[in-house]
Amino acid sequence: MAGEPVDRVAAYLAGDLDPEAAGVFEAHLLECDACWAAVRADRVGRAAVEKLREVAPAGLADRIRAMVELSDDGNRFPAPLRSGRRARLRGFAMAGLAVVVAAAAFAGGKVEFGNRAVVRDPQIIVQLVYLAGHAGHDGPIVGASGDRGGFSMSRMTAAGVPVIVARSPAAFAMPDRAVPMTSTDDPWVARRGGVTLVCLNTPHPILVAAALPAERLEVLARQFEQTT
Amino acid sequence: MVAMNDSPAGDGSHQAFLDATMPHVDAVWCVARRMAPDRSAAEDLAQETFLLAYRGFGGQGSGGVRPWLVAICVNAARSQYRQSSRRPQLTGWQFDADPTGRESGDEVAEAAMAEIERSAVARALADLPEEQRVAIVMMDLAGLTAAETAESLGVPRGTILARVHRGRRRLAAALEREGLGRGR
Repeated sequence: MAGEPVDRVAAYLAGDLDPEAAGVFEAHLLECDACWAAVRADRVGRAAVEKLREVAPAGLADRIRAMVELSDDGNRFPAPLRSGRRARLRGFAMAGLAVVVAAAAFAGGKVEFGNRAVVRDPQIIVQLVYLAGHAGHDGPIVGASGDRGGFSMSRMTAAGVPVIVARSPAAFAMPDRAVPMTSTDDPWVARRGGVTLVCLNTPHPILVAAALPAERLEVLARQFEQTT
Repeated sequence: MVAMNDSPAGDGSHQAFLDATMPHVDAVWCVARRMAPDRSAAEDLAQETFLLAYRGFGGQGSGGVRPWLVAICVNAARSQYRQSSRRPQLTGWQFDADPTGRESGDEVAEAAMAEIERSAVARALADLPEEQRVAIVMMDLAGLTAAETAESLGVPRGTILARVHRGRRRLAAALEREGLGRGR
């Protein structure tokens, strides 16, 4: 038969062969163990992969809608950045993401703009904070309130690297996969997506996140803590 | 490749964007789940896909919305995981499904076996050469046609068909070595 074996089998399985050519190929299959095995393996492989189809996790669609709808409330996405600045902006976005996930999960997952409660899902809160905080100026991003009182976050820059600082009247609970820095779980350090989080709960709860090494971030955290 | 407009969608068009793209969330999720190293990273990747898409909405050309979204997801994953030298790696079993609520031992065993098979398939898929894996993810998981996949990746349709076929055969061989997948 004309054409490479793989191409012929692939074409047949894709339905590319006209009826006459398909009939010829099917007759060939009855006599060719290799092509028969190839067709069968293709069907087994396809059926196996299709078992991996799944619906999106609950809440993902809602989070996406929230991101898009909030972006029309005056909080535009940052302008496109090139190479190096894009990487740092992504670091900032991941920092905000990591901090709010840690903090909002503890704070009860409720974010308010003024007196208007918005959402409770921590993942949506993460996106809200990102959208609210993308503006180029430093300073407070958004306040969140929970059962144990509010916490505030600010964004600042240290040696050109965006740093998120969150303060709370109550301790930040150590999240999953965090590592205690002493024999107790205070202080603790965690990493997510290339961003380091350092938390000092004593004497004043402060959570600092940046794309920096943990040792350096701890120094910054202690400096910020002393300014409380 | 898909052209993108760098400007965000215009005022009031967020609903148009959502109407056009939300029906494809599951397809994007299926791609993100297999292009990212774990479930958490896949959620990030899926959200980033829609962020990027929203920014470029209106400039995606004449192709369908699903191929456009899937291409964004694949490109974002390649960019992110090329930088970190990370590709999807699975060790052992990953039980994504929530096994709670099963009432009988048979149902529990059946669910466990189904998850074992899914994990084996996921491992085998992750071990494929990247070209084959991406083509299979786009066609067999996201539901793109061979032509749409070829256009998104900038290669001939015949090349896509060959990659998919070779990948499926490797998958079947891998599953057979594990004693799975024969005619099931």
